[in-house]
Amino acid sequence: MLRMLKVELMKMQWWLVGLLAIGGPALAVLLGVNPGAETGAEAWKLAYGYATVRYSWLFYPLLAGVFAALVCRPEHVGGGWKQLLALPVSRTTVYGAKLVTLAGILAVTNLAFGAVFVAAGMVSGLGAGVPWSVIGMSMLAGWVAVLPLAAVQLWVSSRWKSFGAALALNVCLTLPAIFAAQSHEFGPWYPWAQPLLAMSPFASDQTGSTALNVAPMTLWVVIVGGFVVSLIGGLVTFARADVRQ
Amino acid sequence: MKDHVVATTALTKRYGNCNVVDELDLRVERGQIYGFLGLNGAGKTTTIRMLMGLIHPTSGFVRLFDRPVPAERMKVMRRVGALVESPSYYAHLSGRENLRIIATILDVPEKRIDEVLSIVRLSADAGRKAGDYSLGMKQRLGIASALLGSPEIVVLDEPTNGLDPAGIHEIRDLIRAMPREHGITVLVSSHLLAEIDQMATSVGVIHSGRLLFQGPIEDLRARSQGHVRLEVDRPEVAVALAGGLPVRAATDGALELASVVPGDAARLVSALVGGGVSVYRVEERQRTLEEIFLELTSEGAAA
Repeated sequence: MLRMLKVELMKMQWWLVGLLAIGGPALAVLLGVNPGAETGAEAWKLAYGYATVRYSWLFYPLLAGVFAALVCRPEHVGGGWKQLLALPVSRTTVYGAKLVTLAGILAVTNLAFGAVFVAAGMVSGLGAGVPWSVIGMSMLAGWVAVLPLAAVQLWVSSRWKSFGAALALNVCLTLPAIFAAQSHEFGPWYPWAQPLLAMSPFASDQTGSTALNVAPMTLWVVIVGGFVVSLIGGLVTFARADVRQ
Repeated sequence: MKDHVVATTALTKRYGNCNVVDELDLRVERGQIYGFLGLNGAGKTTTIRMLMGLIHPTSGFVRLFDRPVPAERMKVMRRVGALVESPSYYAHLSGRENLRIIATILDVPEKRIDEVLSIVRLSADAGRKAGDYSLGMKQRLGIASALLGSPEIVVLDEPTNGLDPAGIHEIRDLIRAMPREHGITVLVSSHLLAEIDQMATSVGVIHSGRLLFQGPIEDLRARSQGHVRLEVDRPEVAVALAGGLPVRAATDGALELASVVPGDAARLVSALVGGGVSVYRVEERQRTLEEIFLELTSEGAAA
């Protein structure tokens, strides 16, 4: 497994991943930065709240889909599946290595978001009192909440050769998240709304939060359950599929 | 019992209600260059993908090194090198980086990468991006990948497809050298009979998913045993005059004598002339492998 992971890292197109993992969050932050008169801890929290909405609603779920497609792209482009899967590696290992790589890239993306936000906040003069614990918890929660999406996207991307098709599906599922997130009945159940709900310091005030900013039911059923179902679904599909292209 | 590197039993793959591969019993022995011959769409690639565990058979069994595939695929694939159809490569990586990826999976040292690069004569271009390679170079990179793990059998699916004559020649030389210089058994597929004829020691002919012939290439060539062809004015009368000689009417109205013993031809001609049949032309014919192949495939299609 470690060897396969090393192989995955060897064949990624890092310049593209790096560009997206830093550029995406940077764009989200810059669009959200709103220099006001306030400074100090409350102003930081408010600014972070605004920044997370765009990022966790739109950029982060979309990037999860893009990275999932990128993780499968080396094989789709050069007809690599048949070569890779004819080697003495199990399909479970191949799929697992891709999922771990994807989760790793998404973790780095979130760290980049936090770093860019803090940097932007300092530049725009929010002053002292960076709420590290709020930001740290929010980033961890957002990462956990994006994992089910990542698993779904990997499932789709491993099957579909077309980069565009996988991306289109992702956009279609991501856009409604903003509406879903505002609904108390629907929001906690819609997987694509989870990063937003998990990351936003506003959302946690409403739902009666756990350690990860989300209601325990939602955490276990939607996030963990969704992840397990998509992981098993993707894995079984991948293991059973005939490699014909 | 013979040492079968590849053995399939009633191997079948069904798509919809068409058996793309139909009850195939393939036998490849150690040290052979086994030519797997069939027209495009005959089922070669599907068969090879089932051997590699890439496609799951509808029914039947695959054994590599006497172990069941895909059940024990992980154990045997270390001993198999494969180039499945069009070359597979990571376009954004160099030739050497491509090989390094497979070398990492197979846990072979960097030194082996240099060795296979020199075997396929890619050492000078190892640093270039594989995406910029010509088709022939990509194909050679694929063969280098297949050789990387020092396998006991190499499976090459249409390795010369799309290559120019020089490239074809080069690949052919490589394949012929494998059993001799490296002790590797080769299973090579092609839709070109001439190509198989120049490389293979053993042949399997597949058509519409069925194996029509399997055996030494000499046996296939023996079918090219000559015959004597006679053009006469009244073939329908002529066959009756042949006596005990193996004569049959060919479709174009000529007679075919399935013997090249000189006395037989003389006896037939005198019998025909004695019976009042005019003989216009007598000639000896060698059947080309192409004709044998066509005959086999038309038998297969009729069955």
